[in-house]
Amino acid sequence: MSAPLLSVRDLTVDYASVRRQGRAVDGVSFDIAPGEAVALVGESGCGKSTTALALLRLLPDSTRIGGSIVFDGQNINGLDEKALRQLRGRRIGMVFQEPMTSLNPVQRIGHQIAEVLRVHTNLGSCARRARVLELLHQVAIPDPTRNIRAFPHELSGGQRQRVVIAMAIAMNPDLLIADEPTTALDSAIQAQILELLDRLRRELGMALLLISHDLPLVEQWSDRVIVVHHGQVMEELPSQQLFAQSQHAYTRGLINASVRLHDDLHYTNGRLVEVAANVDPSGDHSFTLTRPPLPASAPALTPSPCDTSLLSVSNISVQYGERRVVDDLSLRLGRGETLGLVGESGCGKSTLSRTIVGLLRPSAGSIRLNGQDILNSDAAARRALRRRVQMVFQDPYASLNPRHRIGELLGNILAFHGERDPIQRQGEVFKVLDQVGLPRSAAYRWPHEFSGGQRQRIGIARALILQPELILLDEPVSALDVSVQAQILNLLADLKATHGLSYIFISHDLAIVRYFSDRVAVMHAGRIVEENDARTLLLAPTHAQTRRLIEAAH
Amino acid sequence: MTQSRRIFRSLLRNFLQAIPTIFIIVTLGFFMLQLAPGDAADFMAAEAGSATAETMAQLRSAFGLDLPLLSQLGSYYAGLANFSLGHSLRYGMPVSELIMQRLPGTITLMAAAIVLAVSLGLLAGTVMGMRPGRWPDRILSVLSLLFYSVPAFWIGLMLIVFFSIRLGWLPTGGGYTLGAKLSGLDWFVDRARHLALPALSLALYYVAIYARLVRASVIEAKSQDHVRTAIAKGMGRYRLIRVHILRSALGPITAMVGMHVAGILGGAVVIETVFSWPGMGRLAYEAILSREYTVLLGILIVSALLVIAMNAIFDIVQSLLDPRVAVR
Amino acid sequence: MSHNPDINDELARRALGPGAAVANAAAGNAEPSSSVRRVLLNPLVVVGLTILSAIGALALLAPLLTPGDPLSIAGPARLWPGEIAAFPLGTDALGRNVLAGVLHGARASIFVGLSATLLGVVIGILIGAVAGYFGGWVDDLIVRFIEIFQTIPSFVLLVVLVAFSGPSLLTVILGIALVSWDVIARLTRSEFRRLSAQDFVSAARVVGYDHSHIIRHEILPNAAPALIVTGSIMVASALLMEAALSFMGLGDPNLVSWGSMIGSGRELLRTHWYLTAIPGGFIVVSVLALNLLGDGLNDVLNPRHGAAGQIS
Repeated sequence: MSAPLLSVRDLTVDYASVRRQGRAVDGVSFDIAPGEAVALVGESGCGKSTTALALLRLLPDSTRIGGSIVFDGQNINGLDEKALRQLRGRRIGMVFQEPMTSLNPVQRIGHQIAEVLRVHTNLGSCARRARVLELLHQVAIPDPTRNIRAFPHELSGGQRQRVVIAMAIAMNPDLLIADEPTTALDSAIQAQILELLDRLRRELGMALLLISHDLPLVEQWSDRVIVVHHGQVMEELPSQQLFAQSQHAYTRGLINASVRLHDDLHYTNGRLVEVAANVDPSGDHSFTLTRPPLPASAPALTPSPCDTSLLSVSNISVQYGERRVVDDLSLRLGRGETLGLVGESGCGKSTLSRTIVGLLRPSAGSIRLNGQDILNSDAAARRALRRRVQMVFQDPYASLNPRHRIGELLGNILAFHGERDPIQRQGEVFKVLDQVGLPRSAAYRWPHEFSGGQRQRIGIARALILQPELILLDEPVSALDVSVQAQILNLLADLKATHGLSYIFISHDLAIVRYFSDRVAVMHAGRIVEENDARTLLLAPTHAQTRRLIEAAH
Repeated sequence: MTQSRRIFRSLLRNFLQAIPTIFIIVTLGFFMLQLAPGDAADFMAAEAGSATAETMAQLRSAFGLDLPLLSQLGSYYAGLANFSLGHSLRYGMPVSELIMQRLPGTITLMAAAIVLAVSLGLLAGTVMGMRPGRWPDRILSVLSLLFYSVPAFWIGLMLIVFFSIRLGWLPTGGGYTLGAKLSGLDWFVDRARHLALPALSLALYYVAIYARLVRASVIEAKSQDHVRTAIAKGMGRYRLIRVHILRSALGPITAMVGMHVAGILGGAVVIETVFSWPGMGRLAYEAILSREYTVLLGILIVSALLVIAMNAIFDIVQSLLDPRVAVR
Repeated sequence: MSHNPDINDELARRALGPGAAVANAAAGNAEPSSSVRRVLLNPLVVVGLTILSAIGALALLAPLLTPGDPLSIAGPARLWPGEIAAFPLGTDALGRNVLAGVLHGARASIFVGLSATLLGVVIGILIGAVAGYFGGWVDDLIVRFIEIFQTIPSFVLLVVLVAFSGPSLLTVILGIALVSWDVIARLTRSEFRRLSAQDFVSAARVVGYDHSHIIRHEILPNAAPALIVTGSIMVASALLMEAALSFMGLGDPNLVSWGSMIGSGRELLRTHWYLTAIPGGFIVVSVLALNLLGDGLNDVLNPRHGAAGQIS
């Protein structure tokens, strides 16, 4: 390896603001050679984004940075504001996660790209315009001469991210830092943006520092991977060896906790590996990996769809004003079955699930539960039927009312449905907390005292407390870290076995759907375009949309 | 051009919105008029000193005050359609003419106050927001909280005590020096000297609001993604403030000014009575004293129209400043 | 004249932007049980409440401290403050005791401010809640109605209303309530709308709660902080409106209020400016205290968390 372009030694970052305090980065060291693509990978809160921001000193003034960041011979951690400006945008470019907000909303994009040239060169306005057009062409923005005058809100998310990339490479920097550049984008567009970054890196001879939480993604798009946890480097290894030869327990845990499309794992034949981090008194982390056993007395593990169907949705349409979001759609769900519902964002899958639980009213069609029509029965019967269908929401932060203790949150439901005896209610609340694996003391605590995964357990408890037959799981793990995902999926699979539940499992992640579902339906533009058992559908897709989803997942 | 079409559509929308507003105000106002204790004829009679039933009836029929309610309302609508707001007995001229004489005064005062409020607010807010917690921020924060709590008419009176009576620098009231035939620069200076105190009294409350808003926007902007992007581009501090932070704060401030127009107009009414400024507010005060309810109702209608017109202007300014603001 | 609550409406809205409940929660600020304690620990709230209780006590004790009708002549006219010990704040053009006026004026001003605000808040919350929770054509209609109200300069309307119906305590209170309900209605509507769209309200509907339960237990507790903050600012605004009305001679002629004292003191501005300055000072101090209270409540109940800032 030649002399490193960037050399980070013992980097520490301490937050000291009102909003955030404590050590976020704790002695991180790594090198990046010219032209190399290095990935920092880890779960949320591990310090990877803070590290990226520290490299350009973009953190709030109250933050303390320790250690050294040597870029091309000069220590960034000692530079004054003026010298820093010479690096930012000129030698080091940066791409941020959120393309929706990282552009100035009131300026034309051409102007924003030209601004980089204005700051760092003395090109005239004609030359700047020519260079901007060239850059827009380079990042494959369609019709550059027209779009140079576009405002950010007139472009799609992917196009905005291309504009941010154009700004970052405008001065042909030596290093490009990309902080979760595709996390906010649809899976099909993710691949395009990563391809663009990779192509530009080769063309311009830049080094790339890719920050991500996504193991398969960094394996594919980087040369070297640095795994970070709790602000410390766990392991550093070549990307090709990530899945096969990683040694560190934490990395192995992440790998085993995540589901990949070509794994042959199914919830009926095995649980996912759970990683537990143990901190010993000296502050060191050790990790234990466990694969929970399948429940011993599992009832009918492979339900037959021809069984008496639990739910049958016939020809329903849902409209928002003029727009028809669900279009003449029908589906059936057998008792004890899990139906996976996949599709790109905006395909109508969330609308469908909200219609089934009664949050939205369809403009046409019928929904039957156990053969009884939910939509056209009287109020009392409808309420009795609705209790049988519950829902777990995607965002564990927004789905719990911050002003109720967990005990009230769950107990009020029982009270509302006629359970007058507080002792009885408390017993029920404790029981359901046991079932979702939370301590009973949780009943006396507030939602904000829990982590994302714990909150999702509370959300599951809320769905469970009325003893439903069917639970709609609307992207229940997509807001969670990989290791937490595994725990929640294992919990859901266990609950299904012990309670004989049926699930409709909505997700954009084919690998997870493939693991967790008996049958999979692919939704596109408000309709179900293909439906089959999970294995067959992925092996032999017939519809173009299914093939597109599978391709994007690889 | 899309730009001019947007402006046209914005104007059209504001115009269409004005119709039901005016209709409701007129109808409400007319019926409120019936609530009023005594009518103008009573007042005229009282002023003249002689109040025989006969002369009262004559006065009433002369001004149509003896007609049935609905036909009075009908003739009021009909009058409005012809831009007539009725007749002022005391001034002996049509109300619309009377108000038109005073309207420029009010508009001048409001415009001066808005310009003053926005520019001082931007300046103070930027100073505060750039270094929150430092002493300039603390001093200006206390000042803005104070201005935010002071009744405009009272600060006006206190300014008169200090600047006009104690120091003798500025006139105590009026729109211009009576009897002085000035022209050119002298005329302008004379007007400006008369305008200074009323405009400042009216503006201070809004200076406080905008300073607080700009301070909050600047602080918030510093943690915004697009500002971080701009820093990552290598931009210097001052250009960053000017181009990215203040520029994006202008949109919300314009929206706020639009929202405040009605409030500023209300404030102008009181300020005009304090400074004897020749505007609608002063007229309203005179109308209250002489119980000329037609004049009051006319002022209410014209003020609503003025607010609608100024809102239309601010809508356009805002849509020019912020391309995302779609014309509703 | 003043649209005092506008700014706070705006700030509250920004503070409570999408996910603010989450931000509150994340910062550990959502604990209802300890929120009263945290409110009482905030220095702005402490200062505001102290001043307000002092003024409130003076107002309550006014008949004891300065017995008799404050509008009656008590001594020599135009005494400067401190000139005679019996009249620590002096006397006005007619020889009325300024201290008696100020103390009794506090009663009128505070009574008008509180009752007008209470009335306006009740009307505003009812209307705003209906619009925000149920949406649809009811919402459209109410929004149009509120918009019309916002186009009418509220102080001009207030002047016309009170002038037409004859100035009295009742008409002043009704008038101020009538021109200020729209502020709280708009805030309530936007809060209810925002909260109704949140997942936890959807979850409440899925477990079968009815509208009344959802409004009372899910939405109102989360909307309350913003409403309380705006309510406290509205009292300040009502006080200012009452003062301006009385100043223009549209207050209840049988009651003394700070505004009317300024109005009559104004005649002697040139020579006896203290007659204007003293009652005005009391207005400033009370309004300042209310604004401090509002700011403090806003800091505690609606903590702002960094980039909340979509502008549109």
